[in-house]
Amino acid sequence: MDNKTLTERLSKDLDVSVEEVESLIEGFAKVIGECALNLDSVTLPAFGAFEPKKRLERVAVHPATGTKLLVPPKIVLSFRPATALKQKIRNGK
Amino acid sequence: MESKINASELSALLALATGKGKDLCEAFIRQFTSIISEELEAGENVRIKGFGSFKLLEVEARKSVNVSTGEEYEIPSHRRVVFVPTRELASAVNAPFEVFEAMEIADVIAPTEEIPDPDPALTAAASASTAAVTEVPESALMKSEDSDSSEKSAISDSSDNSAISDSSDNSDSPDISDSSEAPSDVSANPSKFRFAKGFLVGFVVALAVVSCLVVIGYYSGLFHREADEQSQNVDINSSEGVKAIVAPADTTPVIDTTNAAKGEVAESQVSVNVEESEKDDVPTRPSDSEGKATEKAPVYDTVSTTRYLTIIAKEHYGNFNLWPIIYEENAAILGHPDRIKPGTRVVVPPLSKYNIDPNNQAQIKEIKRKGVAIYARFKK
Repeated sequence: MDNKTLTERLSKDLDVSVEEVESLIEGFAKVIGECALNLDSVTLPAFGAFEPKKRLERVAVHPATGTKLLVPPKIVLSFRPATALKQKIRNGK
Repeated sequence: MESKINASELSALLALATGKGKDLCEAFIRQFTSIISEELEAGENVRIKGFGSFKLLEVEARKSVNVSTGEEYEIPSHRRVVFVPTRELASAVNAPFEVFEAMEIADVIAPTEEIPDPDPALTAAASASTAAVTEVPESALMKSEDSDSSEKSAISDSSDNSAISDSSDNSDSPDISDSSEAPSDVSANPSKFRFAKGFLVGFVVALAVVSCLVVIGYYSGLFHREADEQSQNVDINSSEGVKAIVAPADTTPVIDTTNAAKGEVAESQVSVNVEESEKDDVPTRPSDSEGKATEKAPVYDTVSTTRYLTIIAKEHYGNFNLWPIIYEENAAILGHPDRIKPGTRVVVPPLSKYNIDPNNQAQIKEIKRKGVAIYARFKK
């Protein structure tokens, strides 16, 4: 499903304009991003949780040149689906 | 921090961020998530602009063991979902660490480990033939360092007599030790090669001067007549513009092999010397033939557009990972291993020369590391 179908369907379901839905999605992404920046996880019922994860710094070897690199630490945003959703996706095949 | 935010808190935050009613935000979140779950259950990927995409991944069936019973069972193939945030969102989340970049660590182990390989080979073979082998890196070194060689030639010019007596003394082999020390010094830390250059020049010059002084003390009387003859040689050499340190050294086999290694210039010099004195001629010939004999022994192969060092290594050794051996053997004539000129003839040394067993995994690993080190030399 692409972005356009999603926004159109949401605007129909919520009875608001497509622009408003777009601004809502934008705000949603912003809020999730801000929460993740503070290392807060956001849990949504029957859907899953958006969890920020800290990745520690590490030493990696450049495969081509053989030089050692110190890769800096970072925070990545990951999604952990709720158990029910996970099971449905698992058996959805 | 690290607290959990639930749906109602999120909708409040969303209402604050967008300036819309809390009810709408709550309904939006509920509808938004349910649509995404529906699509995912139906097996569709969902892409949301400015947020990210939910992708379904196929997981292949694999075997596992029940921990409590020790029973083997198969995990059937299934699907799972991953969320990939957009680049903007990912970098916004990673903001505190955004400033850092992957840094190179100076300490590289690989290049230092390649010293032992050339050295035992040099020490293993004895007599004049080794001298020929040892001289090769030396001459290559001189080509690369013009300043070095010119300095040396200047020295030999300024102190003609001492240089001559030095060379005539070479049966005592101060020069052999000198030349064998110098390349090992270079290969000891190729990464710091440029920094060591100045030190190396000073070291070589100091050695030459010391040996000259010693030799003057002992042999000035003995070789006086010979020295007179060879001072003429030096004059000829300098007029030809030959930049050889130990130029007039025709009386001893060691120096003859040096000249042979130095190529055409040295050959022309030899011919001049042959004309000049028959006495010098006698030791020249055997050493030349010895040099040729050592060069005949190894197998040759030619690099072409479709025959790389790896393919040659695969044919001769049965393992393409052993290509650094061929490269190291021909390091003097080769540049970047990926840019060898087609038609270049390379010596394929026998594996026994470096005591390498093609089935020894540890050695192959070592050689692979050497290959990486070779590439690292050309990294700029």
